[in-house]
Amino acid sequence: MPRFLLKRLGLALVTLFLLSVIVFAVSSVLPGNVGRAVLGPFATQESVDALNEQLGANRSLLAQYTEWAGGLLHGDLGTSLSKQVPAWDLLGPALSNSFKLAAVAFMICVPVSILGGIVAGLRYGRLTDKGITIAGLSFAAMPEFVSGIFLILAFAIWLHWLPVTAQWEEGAGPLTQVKYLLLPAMTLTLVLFGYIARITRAGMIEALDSDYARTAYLKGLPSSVVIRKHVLRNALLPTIAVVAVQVGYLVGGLVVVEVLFNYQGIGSLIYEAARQKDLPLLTAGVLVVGITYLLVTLIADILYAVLNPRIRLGGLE
Amino acid sequence: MTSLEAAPAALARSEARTARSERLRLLVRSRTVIIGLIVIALWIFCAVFPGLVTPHDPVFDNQFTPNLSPTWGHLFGTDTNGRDILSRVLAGSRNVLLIAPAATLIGTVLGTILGLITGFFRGVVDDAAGRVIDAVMSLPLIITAILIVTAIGKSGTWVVVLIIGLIFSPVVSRTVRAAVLTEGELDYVQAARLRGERAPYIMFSEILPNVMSPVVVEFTVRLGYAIFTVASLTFIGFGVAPPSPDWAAQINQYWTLIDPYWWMTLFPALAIASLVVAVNLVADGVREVYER
Repeated sequence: MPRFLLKRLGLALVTLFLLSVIVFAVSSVLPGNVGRAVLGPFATQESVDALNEQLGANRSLLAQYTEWAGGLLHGDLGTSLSKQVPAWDLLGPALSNSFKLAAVAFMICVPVSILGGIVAGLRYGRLTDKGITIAGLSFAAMPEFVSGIFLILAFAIWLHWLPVTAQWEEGAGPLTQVKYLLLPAMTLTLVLFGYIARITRAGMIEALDSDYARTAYLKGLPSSVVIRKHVLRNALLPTIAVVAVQVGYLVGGLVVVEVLFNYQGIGSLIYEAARQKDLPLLTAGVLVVGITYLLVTLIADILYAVLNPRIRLGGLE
Repeated sequence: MTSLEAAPAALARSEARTARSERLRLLVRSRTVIIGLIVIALWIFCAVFPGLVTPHDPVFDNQFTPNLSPTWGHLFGTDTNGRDILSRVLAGSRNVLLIAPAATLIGTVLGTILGLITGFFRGVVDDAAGRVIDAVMSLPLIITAILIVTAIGKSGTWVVVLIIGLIFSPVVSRTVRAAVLTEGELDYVQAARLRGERAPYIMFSEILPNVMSPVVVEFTVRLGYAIFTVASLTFIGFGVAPPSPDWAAQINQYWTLIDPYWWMTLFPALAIASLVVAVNLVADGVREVYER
């Protein structure tokens, strides 16, 4: 187990380093001339030069990367061009808003999807199974803004049950906030439902078909006990791994959902930074998203290892 | 003598043909696949012959009273520029049906090459590529695309095609690599190595034909994601902003007016939904048939 942990941690650090190199390369090398890319074709050469001087974009790439990465290690993510404040001052609150939305989405999505997968698995091959599978597949394939628009039309405009945007008034209580977050959270749920339900269903079918399930049935255990103690325990293991990957997706799906519902999270901040050509803020935001993803998958891998006796006891690497 | 020598090869060929027609037979027996194929075919027809299907001109402004809600004269209503929305929806499939398959093709070809190389050579090449792919895949597709579009300072059809193709290639390579790893253990690859065949020959002439199943599955699944991504990028304004009608661009233009002008957003959204669901129904059928 400790060996597994160390190896996994080492890999995560290598990936993090490569991620920083890739993000840096895209944002500093691709534009050719960073100052020109930010200010556009009609800016004077002097102002372009001045901006490049300010950003340090006129030095060698290696020097730029070392300084940038050195700053990162000290928690300095750079300075936003459009707002002239440290990028973290904008990213921190946005990230916590996004986590709030993601938490509500997860609290709806995970139980509903797992339940859907279990029901589909138990009803394998019947109409319920086909209905759940095709609905899940269809919603998973739909871009968030499409399913989001359907939800807005149904629940906000025609039924008037929920607000159109996720922008609550200052000082709203937690319950009101949740009410505003319901529609965006449901949008994310629709996309994720298919993946999680599908893998739970597959796990169920495999476990139901296994020798140990047959033995349990044959030795006369009631089917509720077989399902609870033998099938579910094994069926849900792969689900954990998928749920973790979907947390990572959630961070990306947030861009579109946050823009659609006008919610001030990391996704809409990245979108705004890109629209205003605020490259330092954009770069920092993208990096924060990548780091979040790496952290979440790291935690999920460890959780998976702890729950899976085959890895926990050191049999598998 | 020659006929005897040729026999095994001919037998193998006819076996492969039987397998292919068997798969095709299973594919068209599935009701969901047929529905998906019909919807896709309809949209392709609209994209190729927009003039035949649109009741009115989809582009010119001020042909009708603006902001009309759906009526018998205009089944989907009219937009703020006084254009018939039904005509715009019917003419709006062109961009996405051009960009998504092109991007998927690039992604699948690049990914297959990458997967063959990493799976065949293994060792250091595989490890190094694996780490870089991990790093690329830790960023959501949309965010990587936004970063690249902003960094190069322009977007357009081919920019979007290239970006999506490039970002897809690592994902495809993972699947192909896994298949190549199992193939590499088999006798025919060992035999080719012992014969002293060169690596590119073994990869492309020996292994590639045997890993085509996962490649085909991956292509169909990626196609769905490509439509998803193109539409999302266009919706947030980082994709193509065409003069011709485009579903996601229409939604980008009108969704802030959704209350009370819901019809300007709903019908393009339904069109996108029908296309992505159709592609995914077919992809799911293909996967089931190839993975049995």
